Amino acid sequence: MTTPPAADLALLMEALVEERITPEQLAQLESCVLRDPAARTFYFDYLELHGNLYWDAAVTEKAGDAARDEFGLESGTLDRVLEDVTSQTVNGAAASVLSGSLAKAAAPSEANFARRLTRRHFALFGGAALVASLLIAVLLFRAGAPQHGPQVVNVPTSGEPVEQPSQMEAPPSQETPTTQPAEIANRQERMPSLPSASTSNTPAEVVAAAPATSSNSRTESIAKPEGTAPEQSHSGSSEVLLSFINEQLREGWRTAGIEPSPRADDAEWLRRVYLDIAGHIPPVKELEAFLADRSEDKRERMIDRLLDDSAYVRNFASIWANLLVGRRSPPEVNREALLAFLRRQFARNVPWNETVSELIAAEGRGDQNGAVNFLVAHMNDGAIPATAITSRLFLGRQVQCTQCHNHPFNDSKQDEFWELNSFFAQATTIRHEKYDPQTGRMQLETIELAMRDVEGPVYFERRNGLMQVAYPAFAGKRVDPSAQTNRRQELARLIASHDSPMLAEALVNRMWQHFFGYAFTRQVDDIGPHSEISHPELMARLADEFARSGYDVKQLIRWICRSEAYHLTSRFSATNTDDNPEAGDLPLFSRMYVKPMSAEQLYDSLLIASQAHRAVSVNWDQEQRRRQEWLQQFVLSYDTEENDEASTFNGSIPQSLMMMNGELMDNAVSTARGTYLHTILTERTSDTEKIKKLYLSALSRYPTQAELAAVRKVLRVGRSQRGQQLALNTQAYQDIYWAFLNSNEFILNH
Amino acid sequence: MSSALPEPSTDTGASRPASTSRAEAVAPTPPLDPEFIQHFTRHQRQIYLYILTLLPNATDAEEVLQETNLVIWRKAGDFQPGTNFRAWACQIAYFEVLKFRDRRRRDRLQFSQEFVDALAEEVAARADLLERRRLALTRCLGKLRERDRELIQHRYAPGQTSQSVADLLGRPLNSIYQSLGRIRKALFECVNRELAAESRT
Repeated sequence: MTTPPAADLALLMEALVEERITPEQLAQLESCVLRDPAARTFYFDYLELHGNLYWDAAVTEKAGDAARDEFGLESGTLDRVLEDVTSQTVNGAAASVLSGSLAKAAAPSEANFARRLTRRHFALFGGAALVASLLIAVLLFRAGAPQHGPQVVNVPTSGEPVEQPSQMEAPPSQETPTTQPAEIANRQERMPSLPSASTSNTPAEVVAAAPATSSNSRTESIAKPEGTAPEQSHSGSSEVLLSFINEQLREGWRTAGIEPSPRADDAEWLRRVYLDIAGHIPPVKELEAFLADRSEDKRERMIDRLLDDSAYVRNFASIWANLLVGRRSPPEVNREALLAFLRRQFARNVPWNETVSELIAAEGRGDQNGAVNFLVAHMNDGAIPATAITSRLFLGRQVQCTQCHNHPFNDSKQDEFWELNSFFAQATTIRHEKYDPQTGRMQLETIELAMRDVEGPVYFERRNGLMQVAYPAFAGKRVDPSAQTNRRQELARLIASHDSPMLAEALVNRMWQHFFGYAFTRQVDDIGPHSEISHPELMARLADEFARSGYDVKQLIRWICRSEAYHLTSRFSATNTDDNPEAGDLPLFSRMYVKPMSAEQLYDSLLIASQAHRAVSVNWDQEQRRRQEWLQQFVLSYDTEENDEASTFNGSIPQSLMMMNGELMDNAVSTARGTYLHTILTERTSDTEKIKKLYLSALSRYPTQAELAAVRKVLRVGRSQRGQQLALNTQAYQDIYWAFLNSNEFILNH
Repeated sequence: MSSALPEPSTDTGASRPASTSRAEAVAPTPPLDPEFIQHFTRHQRQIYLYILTLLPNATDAEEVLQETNLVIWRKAGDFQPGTNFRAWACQIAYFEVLKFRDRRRRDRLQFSQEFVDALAEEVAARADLLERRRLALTRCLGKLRERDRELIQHRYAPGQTSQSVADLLGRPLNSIYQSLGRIRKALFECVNRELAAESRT
């Protein structure tokens, strides 16, 4: 934990060298550099880099100056200068740096220290040494220039040196605007032409559209009453907030000089919103109905409908169970009970601060009160993991480093970690066992989280070895440390109160990340004075509105999903390739970032696409167990102080192998009765129609003409090679479907 | 070495207010000792970098370097050949930094005195890698993409600021900041890699 995250320190250093550092940042930088030797080295090296760049540019200027003043030589400094100049001119890059500053040399400049320097030295010692050496530099440079690469040819020797660099830069900057409109026009031409081409050119498409329209009118009539009701109750404040969100993001695009990507088409957007809210891809029927729906507000209604769906409840319960106790929870944790608790909370849309309070203050048996299991999973090591995860998950603050030392980058002190830890001092776990007649042994039945009589502080050790005490306190508020106080209840109250914005901020940031792939901060759970925020005002306002709404989770999701940015396509446009948070820049949300599916999303989507569970017909409980087993295989857990775990479900080879060869995939392309493939293949429809259905079910879109042709060809080849019509057909379709389900387009949420 | 100065001590008392006036009263007849001149020119960059770490504003550091050079020149007679020129010069620079801070106390955001004191000592001892890092930086500049190199070139051209570069290129200031940050980070990492590679071979 002593190595500083260079990213944060680098930000401070950038602010420093660009002279835009705030007093707070300066203080932060100071304390960080003073405390941490690694940060100190970083500081020195960074300024050295900055200084060298500055110096090299200035040295060339000295050269320019001296060249005009023409002075005699002095041999003492020759070798030094020779070394300096040759090392730079052999290198094209340095040469161009040289040339650039040389261009500026003739221009009058107050900050021209070289000139002043040389003038003063003329007075002092006849200027012999320094100026002479510089003259040599210039002579060498000019002589060497033509031999060393094309950049040097640009060296302006006289004339209007100040304009030169701007001319060099001008062509690219003029080019960009001219190519942009052309590219946009191109895109616009291409984009609408695709669907129109496919609808008009293939008769099958028209056939497909007909039943879709009729089913659509059904869903519409069902959806409407549900959809409009919540809409109206919030619309007053929602519209204002929405335009605020949109304006804040647009502001970012304007500042960065980029244009957002175009709006995503309905198919792309529906797949996305299904995966984000319901946790799986849309079923074909839903998709067809949605595509055929022509009403203006169908996207808004879809958001509301999905939020009322049980899939939303299941999805978010599962996400939060993973966050709270990990995918592979320890055996003492009753995961099912925790999931049931979370499902209840999300289904009833319980205010977020209440849910968090219940989790922090929970007491009782893990099998009776599901909320207990969160802390049960983290009570080891003097509740140190419990302290860290409470802060990280609910407050978006990483304090685990301050367990051992003061935080290098923000104000959190070691005391604060232990003051927070002190709230968990009364918590104790009781193991309940029961006799297992099968094995004849006592077995764990459940863990009970209880309160014990503890008063006073917890003790911790400073790095210098001094023992310190910490009394329970949160955000500057102390609570009575006597045994009569229920400390966890007090903590729950303090965190959930409106005085502290941290709870709301943390969830807003996490939800934003859930839907956009990136949070406002580089790490979703590391908000703090040291971390740069991409849209600080937006985050603050959303957190504030979220708290005002009574921590209404569904409302927060509605705001995010209705924002303009959530409806953009994931495709880059020519104008926003700079918006690339993967490269480490802060996100601008000018396009939808591609998110890899989670293991859960992939599993559930496979079932939706294939109805594979029908192939092995099991009941719901069995199915859940099967799902859990499948998910487990990707998890590696680490017994660290933060109870970390890692997933190999990250596009890695284990994932690919499991996808390509696993039993699940076998089932997915099985043609047993009840599976999707079986349904499709037994329908009396044309190949084109079948192919389209497969595209819809796996990739949630219609095939393009080219794709359609390619797939038809695969089918034809299959047929001519094998004799019997039926078997070969089935196999060819299985191969095609297998390819779809293993494609990148399937496993990404885009 | 001619000792033209009345105070032949190696102590750099020149910067203390009392002795400054005395030093200025001395006739500026510097010794034209080739070795001293060589030291002087050879260490300009290092002294500049030293000042910059304590006063991290490139133009301020320039100004202090000039003040420092004047004092170095004036006190040239104090320097004992064979001793560490850099340490001697840095000591002078340190006092010049303090004087500069004193003058600018009101109009500029500054590091705390505690910070400057703590760093001054450590940075003075950091001479060994400077030259290798500088050469590595030159190589790394060569590895930059053309566009990035041009941006660095613009930004560090004398008298330029990010604002003036933004105006020049017609780009938003914020995007200039972002690009520069990214490029400096790339250079920084490249220099570290180069040095690591050097120490392996």
